[in-house]
Amino acid sequence: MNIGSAFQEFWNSTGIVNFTWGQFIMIIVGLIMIYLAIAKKYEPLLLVTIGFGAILANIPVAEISGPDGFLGIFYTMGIANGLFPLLIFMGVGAMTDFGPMLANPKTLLLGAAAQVGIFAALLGALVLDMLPWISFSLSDAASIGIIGGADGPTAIYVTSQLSIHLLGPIAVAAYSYMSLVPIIQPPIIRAFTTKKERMIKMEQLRHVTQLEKILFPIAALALCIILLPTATPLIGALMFGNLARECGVVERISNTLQNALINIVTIFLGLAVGSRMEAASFLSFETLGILALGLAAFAIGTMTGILLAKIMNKVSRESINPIIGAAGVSAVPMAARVASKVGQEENPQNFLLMHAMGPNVAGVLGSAVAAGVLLAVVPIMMGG
Amino acid sequence: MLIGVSVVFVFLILLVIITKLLSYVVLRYFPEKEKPAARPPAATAGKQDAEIAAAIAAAAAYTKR
Repeated sequence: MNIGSAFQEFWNSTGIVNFTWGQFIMIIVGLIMIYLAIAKKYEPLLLVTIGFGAILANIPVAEISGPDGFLGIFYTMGIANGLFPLLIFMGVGAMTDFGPMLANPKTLLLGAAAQVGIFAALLGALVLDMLPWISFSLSDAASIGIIGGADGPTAIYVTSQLSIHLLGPIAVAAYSYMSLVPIIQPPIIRAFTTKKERMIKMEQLRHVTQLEKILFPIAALALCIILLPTATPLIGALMFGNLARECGVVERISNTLQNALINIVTIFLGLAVGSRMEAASFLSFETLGILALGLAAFAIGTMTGILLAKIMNKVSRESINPIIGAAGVSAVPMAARVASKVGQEENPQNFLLMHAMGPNVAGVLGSAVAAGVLLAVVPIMMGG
Repeated sequence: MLIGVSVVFVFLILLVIITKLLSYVVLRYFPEKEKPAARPPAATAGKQDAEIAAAIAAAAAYTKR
């Protein structure tokens, strides 16, 4: 073999020769995500990892996201089988204080109302399916709808069970909109409430005893076991984490769940989700449709949450500020912070944060329940 | 869609009822007795702070001399 042909072989294996346009665009997309995370602080924990995963996945020749590449291994290890989102949920459970919700259980309903966006987006996806250049099956539509739950792990879990080929765009849409909550929600809140309503003050929440906090996760899981076993992986993981937090005797487990474990899993999950952003599957009309539907789901969920809060304010004895309805779209704790900020703009003496945490954590339960419904119903409808 | 929304609502309404029942039972039969215990430590903490401040002042005065 002469030097010339050896050089030729080497040249053929460089990145420059093997690049496709799609890969180049996806690497730029990954860089944009990293930029948004660093410069704008949008969900940095996820955008840095997903963005870097997207760059690695689109490197020619190296095959990092292939079955034998390290991102591919992360992917089969915990995304394809739905393991990582459940581990994250344990950590979320250990970080969640259900206290504000237990003090005012009515707010659970706001968490339910905000899930209307999920089902509206599901219908929207089926409508888009009628367009000639987009095709979504019912299970695709269900996975897209769950973006409206504003809950990254839930969205990834449902998608991994129902339509794994859409995982990249759906995870990206879910996490991007979660980070855009401070931009998306305030205009919607202002559009659907009057100044007077936004100024409503709420009574201080009562003290919640430790025993209540210990019994709640068990009671919620029991209800789930009886009515909706398909939601028990998500709710079970969440409630396990929460019990570890509240029972007070397994401090070490609780600390591991909310720090070490969730951080480790976030690294694996972020990189593996990024690895699904390969040019071939990501650059399509379907992705555009998913991004649009996700935004619609979010907006509708915010709206229905507010509308129910308005009705509850009329009906119930104590006053309820409709702004907290917007926090019903999980996205903990961002949505609650946004609600509290909008409230304070109208009335600087108004502290809504704890009141908004109620619907906010209820939203996590609500989207997990909605996920359970989809997982129970969609496979049957697809089969029948 | 209607099925989905209504199942979510029914589930959470039941959860509201269960939660209320739970709180009622817990507060009624197992009230927490922690309020009186919470006060004294705060008081001693303040006293300790004062003692430490006095000690620091004394030490400072002593070293200055």
